[in-house]
Amino acid sequence: MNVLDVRDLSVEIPTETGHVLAVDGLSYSVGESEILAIVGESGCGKSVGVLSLLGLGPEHARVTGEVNYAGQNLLTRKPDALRRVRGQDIAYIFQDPMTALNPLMPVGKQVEEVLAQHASMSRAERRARVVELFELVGIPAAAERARAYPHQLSGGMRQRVMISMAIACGPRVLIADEPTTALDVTVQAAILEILKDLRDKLGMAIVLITHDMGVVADIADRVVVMYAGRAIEEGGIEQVFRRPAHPYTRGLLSAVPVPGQRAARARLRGIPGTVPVIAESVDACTFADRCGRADEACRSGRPPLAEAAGGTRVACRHPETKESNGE
Amino acid sequence: MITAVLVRVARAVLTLFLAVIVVFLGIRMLPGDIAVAMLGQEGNPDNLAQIRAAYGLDDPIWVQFGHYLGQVVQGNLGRSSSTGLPVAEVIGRALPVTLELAVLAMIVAIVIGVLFGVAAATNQGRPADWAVSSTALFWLSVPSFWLGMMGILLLSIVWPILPASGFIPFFESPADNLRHLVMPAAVLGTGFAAIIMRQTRSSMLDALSGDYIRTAKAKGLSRSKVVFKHALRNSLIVVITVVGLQLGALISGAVITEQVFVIPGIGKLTIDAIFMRDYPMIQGVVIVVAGAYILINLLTDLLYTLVDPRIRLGGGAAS
Repeated sequence: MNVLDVRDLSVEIPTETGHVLAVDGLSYSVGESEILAIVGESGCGKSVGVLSLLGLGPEHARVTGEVNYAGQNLLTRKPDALRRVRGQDIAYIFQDPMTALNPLMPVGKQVEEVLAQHASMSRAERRARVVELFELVGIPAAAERARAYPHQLSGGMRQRVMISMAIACGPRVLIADEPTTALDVTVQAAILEILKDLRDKLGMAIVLITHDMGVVADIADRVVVMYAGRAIEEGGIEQVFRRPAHPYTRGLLSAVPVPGQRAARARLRGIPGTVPVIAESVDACTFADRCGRADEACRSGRPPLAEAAGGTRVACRHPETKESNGE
Repeated sequence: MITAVLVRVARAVLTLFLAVIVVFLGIRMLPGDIAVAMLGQEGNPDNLAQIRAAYGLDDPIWVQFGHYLGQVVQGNLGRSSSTGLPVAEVIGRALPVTLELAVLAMIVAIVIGVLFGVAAATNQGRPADWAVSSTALFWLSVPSFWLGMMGILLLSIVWPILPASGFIPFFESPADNLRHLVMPAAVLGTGFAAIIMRQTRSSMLDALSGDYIRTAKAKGLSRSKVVFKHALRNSLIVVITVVGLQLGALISGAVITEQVFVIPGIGKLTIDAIFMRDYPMIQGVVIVVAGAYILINLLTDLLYTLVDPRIRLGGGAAS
């Protein structure tokens, strides 16, 4: 049973130098208690894509497609109705917990605000709930910390505050936009652990945006690989890591160091070129210019997502069929 | 915290002391003195010398200063050389009038400036923003004396609903007091409202682009909560700074407004004193106004710490 179902989402952003098509016909869905990772390089549209689901993207962006949640298309709903969904049914965690928290408000108050907005609780009940939430995400001395300002907490603690704020109303979907990128490695692991734990306890679905394949491997059940605003491969975590079919997915995986490999074979490989900025949807494979296998077929017609031999769905005319050997 | 406040207060007292020195020396560097002012350039030299001796003007300058400082500390600012009344008493009567005018003008300026600044920022690039911003530019460019005269023409002569001039003390008749001050306060305040509006607009735009605003929206908060609870509070530091600086300037700005509306405040007192070459009075006024400036700055500093928990008075950011 899918909780959130995104169909053919496109986001067009007007800029001073013309339009940018940040997301180009993206479809994915996430089921109950499932952790879906959306992975890709910076600039591939993954953040804008999830922010646009609830109207939090760039102000003048044109968003088309369907975002189906609880039997309704969120993109056609009025701002008031959308506000009731935000924070209550679908909640967000952002990348940098320093700037994502209001510097002038005690953190406990900031969590209380969500409760005041969506739950009918007395002030005392809200306070008690904040302490409960802080304990749930592993903030020690919770009652005391609730009175602290963001600048008095460490990065990891701030991100825990963000998480407690997001889960305060028991959302069915949690969207985590690069939640560990601004944190150091040990804290990263702790935050991922908390997310997994909350998924198990609360049964919510998590959409995790990241560029870090290590994070994907650690936490996700399924993964969507994005490139230049499109999904180019998707599948279960096992399949994508074992038999990635798209040359770009292979590129991403081989850019991650694998410990234990012999030095001669363990050379990291980058992908030549950069992600192109797309102005309008082109009828071709957007990766063709960086791809060693590209031919005429790739440049004349957008490859559809189709079943690949390894069990993933891939948008490639010449998918890889061999198992990934960590090259 | 308490020591930090004491340090601030000590610094303010020192600044005031320096102001007294500057005023004292400045007055004595001007050509002419009280004796000349009283008797005129053609006065009998014997009489001039007599007056100078009476006022202690033939003592060495540091003796004069010590004497003057001793009096100032006791709250004695000398006697007016034109009316013979004690300076402190005359200023004491004029100051509340100017303060009331300045505070009313500042209330007008803050209410108009902040509301329109927020309106402009939340409608950035739309007609409302354009209208508010260009109106602000207009108010900034209009001299207040002209505005005052137009106000009198319109609201006192063509459509007489407000008195053109004069002043009634608040405790005599609060309603009449306000009726007399509404127009001067509006005239004095609108120019400052324009400054506050522009600052509010730009700091609001800055705040609205903050990540925490996106968080506030993602929580499902209403637009007004996002704007007023999160964005406005974060732009208040800038607004407080401007208000603090402007409140000082407002006291100086009152000079012209008081002249136009014939209000017996510090401004009118200063101009009259300058015309009469009433040195003790000028000295007294400058010291009192400087003191007001310093006090306002001190209060502004203290207010920062109330608004922004990251600011500590001891200097340097908190950890």
